[in-house]
Amino acid sequence: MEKQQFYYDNKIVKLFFWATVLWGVVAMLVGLMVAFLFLYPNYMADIPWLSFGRLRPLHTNAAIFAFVGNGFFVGMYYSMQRLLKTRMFSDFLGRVHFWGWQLVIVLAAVTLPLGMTSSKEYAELEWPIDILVVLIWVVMGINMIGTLLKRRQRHIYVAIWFYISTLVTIAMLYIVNNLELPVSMTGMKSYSLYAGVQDALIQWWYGHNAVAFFLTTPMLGLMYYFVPKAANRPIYSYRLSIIHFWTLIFLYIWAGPHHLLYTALPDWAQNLGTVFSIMLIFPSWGGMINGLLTLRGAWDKVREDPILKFFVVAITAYGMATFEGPMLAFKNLNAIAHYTDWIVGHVHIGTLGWNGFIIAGMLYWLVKKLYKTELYSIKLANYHFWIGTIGILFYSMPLYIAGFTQAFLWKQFNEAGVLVYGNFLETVTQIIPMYAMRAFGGTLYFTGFLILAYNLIMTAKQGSKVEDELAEAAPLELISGKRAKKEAIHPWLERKVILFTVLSFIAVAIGGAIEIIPMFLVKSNVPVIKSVKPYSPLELVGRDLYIREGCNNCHSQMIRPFRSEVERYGEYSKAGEFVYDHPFLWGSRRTGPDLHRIGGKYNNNWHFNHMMEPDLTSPGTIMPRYSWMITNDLDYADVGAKMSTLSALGVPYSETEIAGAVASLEAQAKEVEASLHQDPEFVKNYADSNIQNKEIVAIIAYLQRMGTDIKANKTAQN
Amino acid sequence: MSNNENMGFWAKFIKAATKANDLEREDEVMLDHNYDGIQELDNELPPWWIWGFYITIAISILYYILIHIFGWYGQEDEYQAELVAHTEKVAKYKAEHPELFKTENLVAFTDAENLAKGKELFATKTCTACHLADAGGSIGPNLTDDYWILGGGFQNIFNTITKGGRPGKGMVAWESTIKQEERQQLASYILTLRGTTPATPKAAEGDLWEGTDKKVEEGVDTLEEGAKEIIKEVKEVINE
Repeated sequence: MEKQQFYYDNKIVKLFFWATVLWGVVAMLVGLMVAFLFLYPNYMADIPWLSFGRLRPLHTNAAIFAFVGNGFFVGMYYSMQRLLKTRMFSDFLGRVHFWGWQLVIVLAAVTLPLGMTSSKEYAELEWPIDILVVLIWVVMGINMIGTLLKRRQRHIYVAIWFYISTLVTIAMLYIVNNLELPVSMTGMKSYSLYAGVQDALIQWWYGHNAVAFFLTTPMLGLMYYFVPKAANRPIYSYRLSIIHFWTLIFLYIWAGPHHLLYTALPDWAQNLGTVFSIMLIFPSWGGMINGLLTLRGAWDKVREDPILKFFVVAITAYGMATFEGPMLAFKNLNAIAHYTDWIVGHVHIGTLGWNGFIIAGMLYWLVKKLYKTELYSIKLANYHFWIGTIGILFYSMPLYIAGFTQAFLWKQFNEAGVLVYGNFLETVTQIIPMYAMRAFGGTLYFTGFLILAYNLIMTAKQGSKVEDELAEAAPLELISGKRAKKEAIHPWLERKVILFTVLSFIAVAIGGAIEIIPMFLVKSNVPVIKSVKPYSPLELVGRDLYIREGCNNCHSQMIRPFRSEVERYGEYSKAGEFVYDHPFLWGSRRTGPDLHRIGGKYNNNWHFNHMMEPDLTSPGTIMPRYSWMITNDLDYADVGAKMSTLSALGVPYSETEIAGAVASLEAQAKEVEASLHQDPEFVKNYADSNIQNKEIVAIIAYLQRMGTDIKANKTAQN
Repeated sequence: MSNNENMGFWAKFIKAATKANDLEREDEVMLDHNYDGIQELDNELPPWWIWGFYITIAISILYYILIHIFGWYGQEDEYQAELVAHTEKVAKYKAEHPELFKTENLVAFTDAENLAKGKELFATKTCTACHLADAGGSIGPNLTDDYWILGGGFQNIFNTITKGGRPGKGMVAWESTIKQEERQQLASYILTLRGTTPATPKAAEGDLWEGTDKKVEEGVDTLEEGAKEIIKEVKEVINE
């Protein structure tokens, strides 16, 4: 057939290109800001929107969705057109995708610091933004599928398989995990549809697979395009691509519960998380070896070319992280590593090493193509490579040491059966030097990235204007959709894109369905504890403040069944205690102590002073002040609406309770203030401050309630 | 050994582990794929990789069967076992070293050196966070008056410092963080505060203490009993 001429859209690639650079700088800068908060907890004191609990979600969201997200889109828009020999399906949809995605990022950057958060990790954005994310994702999906349908290349290449699995899986994960009921259509606040154990399972099914399908499969797709391109070598093994692609996407989705080992999640689900993580090692490594062995015969080039160096370190980091992950999914190692900085170190091998470096290599390669010029400075790119690599080491190694040091301090008993480090704070002050080294490593990595930005800008300046690229290819002849004689199954599947998409969706839907559905249907998964009651109106409002401030970023609410934790915190947490927790707040990292049994441990004055100035009650603490909670008026006008919303989700608030919510709240607030008056210091300083009308009373009420229902149970039985 | 032989072994090893076609004979496994100039080889799956994959699958199936069909392990059992082992170990240690757990014979220091140390500890061990520097009381009670919630006198004060106060009030059990001698110095120093005049004394709490040094009765305090209590509670909750 006669060849057709057409243009590749390079302008959309350029847009995503610079967005990646910009958001990379922002994400890393916010990361550094939070890293320094560990060293100087109050350097941004009394500015609520710059506190750790609000900035940490901003950092993770910016790194994942803004930096890596845009990085994926750069490579996807560039490679898809060329791999399919066509311009994208719609320029307009591409622009909607671009600007819509940037709008989401800007909205995130505004709402997260304002404390508008659903608290679920990497899914913190509130419901209106969630809807926008889904819409934009669908726009991208239509554009991708449309492009696939009008392709001039019969078969789709392995990079595209990974793009397709990303598209369908992220859509599924994001929608299911973010199902939430808004308190009002005009406000941002919503409550997760799920509570407690179920919410935790769905969240980590999502959280784990956001790593899999936002930080891994898209990056593997990029690897499969840009590594052979940059090395000018063929892919090592086509059949390995097939095997590792399908096994990876099928197995990955099951592994979520390994984030919940030793929690109140039923054993059968936890152990599924463990075994599927173990089975994931080789499918993950299939990607690594296909990437590294593609460089066979090109290692001399690696010595010369900084782009290939970035790729080699990226793929190696991927291999390391995907071996370490399954090891951490063994319960005995997880018992040590979970809740510590080890996990933070592990994650950053993946993000800084794998994602950051594969994107860096890609950007250096692309800038030459887009601007039709050579790199402004190969020397600077080499500097970036070395500074960045050393930065990764300085970032991660201290956190590994910090992680297991702290875990051992937590667990250490003396011969008389007393915790050696009974004061949690002592286990924190020991690892401060490690936090300093981590901040240094982060600074190096950030410096490297600034060098990249400079180098790219200078390259663009010396190059020519980005123009759409002329290409030609023959259109596809129409052939039968049925499998031809001697046509193997997979090659056939590679030309049936809709079937391919459907099959990859089925592959990723199975694991989640098998784990999640029984958790709702089988009662024994969450044994009922009769004494567990819904929160009072004041406690509920306090809990929402806990969410707003992001307390769950540093404090867990899940005591594991270990002697050391029961001794330190109290009775270990039971599944039935969380049935009214929309959302769950188990947390994933203990920068501070677990709070599940904090209720009744201290008196109200202790909490008051501690929130006002943590250093007063806990000298040397790295918890920042929450002074604004003492001055901010408590907003409880919508407490009735909140209770109605929760009641619609199954929390048994009666109509009378909802009608009397405000009165009940005010009465309890008054009680809290009255109890504070036992301290003459409080009377001296705050007697006239109308404290019963401030946020602090709500947070105190919530803290004092936490984990106490089961104690009431004990009294009732005795 | 010459360098060449080394290389030979390595190359052989790699060859066996990967079954990769030699670079010179790549065309034998080159597919006719061409995606924007990217070609694909069709090297065999590396044996080490495929065997590794099979082994992890086997381990996983075995792991799951052993746990959920043969009941080899559960986190609840693991916890109970840990509790029992720990309790026995501590009981044995206590039986072997009874002298370490006898505090009945401790008495207050009266010498200047120890009292000065007590005063210093009162500030450095964060007592002042709740009781204030002049011990007039704030979050916690006034330590200068004659009223005591958990009993006055050296033995009771020492015991409160060691084992902590009433639940919900915030007095920490300091036995893990403050050495016994230091707790003795602290209690001794606190005794000397009686009758001093703090700036804003907190109103009296507890009962008037008549000045004897009798230890007030306490509830469960030995670890063995405490552990049994916990096991009982756990079972009750599970049985619910």
